Amino acid sequence: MRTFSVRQFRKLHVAAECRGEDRGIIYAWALTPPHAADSPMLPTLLDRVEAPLGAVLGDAAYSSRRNVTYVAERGGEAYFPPKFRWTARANGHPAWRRMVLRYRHHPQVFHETYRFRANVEGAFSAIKRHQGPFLQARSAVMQRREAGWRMVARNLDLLGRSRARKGTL
Amino acid sequence: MPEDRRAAYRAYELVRRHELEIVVRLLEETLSDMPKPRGWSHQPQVGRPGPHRRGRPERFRWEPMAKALGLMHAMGWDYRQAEGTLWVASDLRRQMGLEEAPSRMTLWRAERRFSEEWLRELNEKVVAAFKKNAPTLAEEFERLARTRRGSGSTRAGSGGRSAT
Repeated sequence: MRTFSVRQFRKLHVAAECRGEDRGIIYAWALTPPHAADSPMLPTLLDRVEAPLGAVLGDAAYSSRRNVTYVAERGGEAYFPPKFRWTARANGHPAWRRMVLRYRHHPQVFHETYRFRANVEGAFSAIKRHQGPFLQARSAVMQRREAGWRMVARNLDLLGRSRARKGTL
Repeated sequence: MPEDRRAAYRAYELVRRHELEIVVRLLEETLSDMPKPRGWSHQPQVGRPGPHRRGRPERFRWEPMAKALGLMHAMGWDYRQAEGTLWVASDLRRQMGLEEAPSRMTLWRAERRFSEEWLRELNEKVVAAFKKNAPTLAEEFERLARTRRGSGSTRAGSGGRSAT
């Protein structure tokens, strides 16, 4: 008898603000199948952010020469931690070499910026607590829309709190 | 407790108490300059769909339905909870501009109409709203609290604590 699992997993990629008063704001999101690679999603996410990029923080799954070059071309500065056995060889991507050498020679400076990436885990936690840990829709299209509504709802929640804090609510 | 923590706590308490109204108000503000979703045709009295009509026209206008869906996802409700809450909360329905409570199937069908591009545009509007000033709700809530409790001195008491 053929059996299959009804519960499937999806991967949610998020570009969020990690620093400052408005940290946690979600600028862009993408929902992918569970085993899709993380690294190719970074340009897709950042294409949806129209504002100039500052420091772009991401975990090691996002570190690739192509991504670092993309961030540098948009005027930003990439902070991705090392993967196993990475090298500073540029291979046509000088921004990659700069990032690796910065990590090697000034690790404290690197981590001083990179530590703010942990704030995005708080954003994920808040989404799971407030909007629920799973999607109800079955089809992929509706799952993407549901995820979109949840991101908008999360930003609305943050907007309300931000205004209440400033006294402008 | 430090002063700034106390202020933040009060602000969050205000948001928590009036969460539904605040979400609806913020959605109203953001949706005002959003375009109609593609393919949304509104027809209040819907019968059975005709043989050659593409899709069933929606019974409600798109703004109230967007507010209902936004509220549903902001509160973490499922369709059944949203239907039930909108059924009983007539004041909320009035605030959202719904004549009657939509069923859970209507909510689901409406959700299908809002495309990802439309949602991204809405999100951009919400992010942009972080930067600009908003009309104040605090006076309105204060007025509501006064009318409900008379001239109760809960507020005066908390003000005294903050002064010390």
